Amino acid sequence: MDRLSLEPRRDWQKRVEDYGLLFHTPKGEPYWDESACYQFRRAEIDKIEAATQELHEMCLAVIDAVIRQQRLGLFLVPPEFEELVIRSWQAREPSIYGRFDLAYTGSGAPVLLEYNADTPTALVEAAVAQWFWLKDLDEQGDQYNSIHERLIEAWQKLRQIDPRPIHFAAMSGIVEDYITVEYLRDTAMQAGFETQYLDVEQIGWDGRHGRFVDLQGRPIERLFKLYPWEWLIREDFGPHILRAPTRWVEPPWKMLLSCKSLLPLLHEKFPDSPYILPAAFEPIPGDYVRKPIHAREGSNIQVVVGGRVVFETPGPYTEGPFIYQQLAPLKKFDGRYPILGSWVVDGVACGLGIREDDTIITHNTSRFVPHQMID
Amino acid sequence: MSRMSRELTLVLLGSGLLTAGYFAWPEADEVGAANPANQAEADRTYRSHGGAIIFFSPFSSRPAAGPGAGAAAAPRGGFGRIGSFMSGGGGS
Repeated sequence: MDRLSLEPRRDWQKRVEDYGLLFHTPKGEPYWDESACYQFRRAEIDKIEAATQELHEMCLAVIDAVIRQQRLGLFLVPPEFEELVIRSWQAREPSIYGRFDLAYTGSGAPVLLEYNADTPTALVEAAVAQWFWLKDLDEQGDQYNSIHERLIEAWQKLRQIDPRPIHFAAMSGIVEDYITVEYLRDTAMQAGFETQYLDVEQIGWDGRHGRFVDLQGRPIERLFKLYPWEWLIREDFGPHILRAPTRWVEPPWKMLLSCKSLLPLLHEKFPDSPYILPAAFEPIPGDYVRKPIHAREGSNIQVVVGGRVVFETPGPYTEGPFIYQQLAPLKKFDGRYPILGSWVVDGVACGLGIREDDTIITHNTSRFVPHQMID
Repeated sequence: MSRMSRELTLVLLGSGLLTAGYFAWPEADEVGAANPANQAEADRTYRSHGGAIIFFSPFSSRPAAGPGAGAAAAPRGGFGRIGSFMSGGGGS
């Protein structure tokens, strides 16, 4: 694994905008950064792919145990929603996608930092933008990336079960979310689905028929929502979820998989896995990172080294609850810390996106850097 | 990982459809400079976080507003409250 400095394409802004990446320079700060790339050998990619696949299987095993042992309280699932989660899991309601964040130094095993299993973004960058970047640089170049094809296949599989239209929703006014949802809608359309976009705030409730409706009053039979479950169920329309016949993508069981309470339970069940760091619901010996169980985009992370807080990020999750995870081995590449975003689509590891930061915590301004794979 | 060979096609992204209206707002900082009262909204549009404190109680959610008369009069806005509070969007 190496980090190479490169000359950006002369018209790179236009090139990435051509395939939808309109948020490449938010507030004048680069987010898409092709002044460098990461280069992996095929054997390294094989290692990342295998780790991702095994981690996904282990995560599902933990969720199965959590449900059988009725430990949903550890995930702060309100009691009245537990049945929804359990039924969703027992029915194996289909999931489309998720993204593991992995620490990897180029040697040893990649280790899990967290699983963004409900509303992952940085998808267009990974699936599309970095692929076209590679083809512009080297038509023969290669990359660990079949995310786009896998997404279309996942929607096709879903369509065989239920061909009814799908609504897609994201929060209004958030460019990155909107583009992500439109990209997913693009892949669903290519799979043959009729689709419709609306803002999350525009979802209506038809009380007479007991169903969610779109702006035209049409029933929302299946909804892809780029809006986390832990928020949905706590909002004014949250209780309606229990009554409505709407099917959800991602499904309700993903509210367990996307919660950081998963991390101590993974360690509890698979203490010898090379991919899983020691973690607990209380402070652990040695150097560790404290994470709120529902934090997003690197908020309210605290790094404790030698018993002292050496780094902390701001955010709204000051009250916790928290989990404590052993500080991962990290390595600087040209002064930057890369985190691997390893994608899973329909349960299969299928691609990679890398974000890097000057600090050891990846947050909402960390840059996306493309990658290539060599023999 | 076998070698990738792909013909990647987009039917929605990259078309004029996407860029025509949705992004017709000024840059966040320009909005703020023109009218500081708008800065919070402008920040929300981009990738920043606000200062709200979020604490999820293990107990239940608020009851919803009463059911509407039908689809035409369907109440809306029952989702999105926490997201607007958080200011960074729903993605992760």
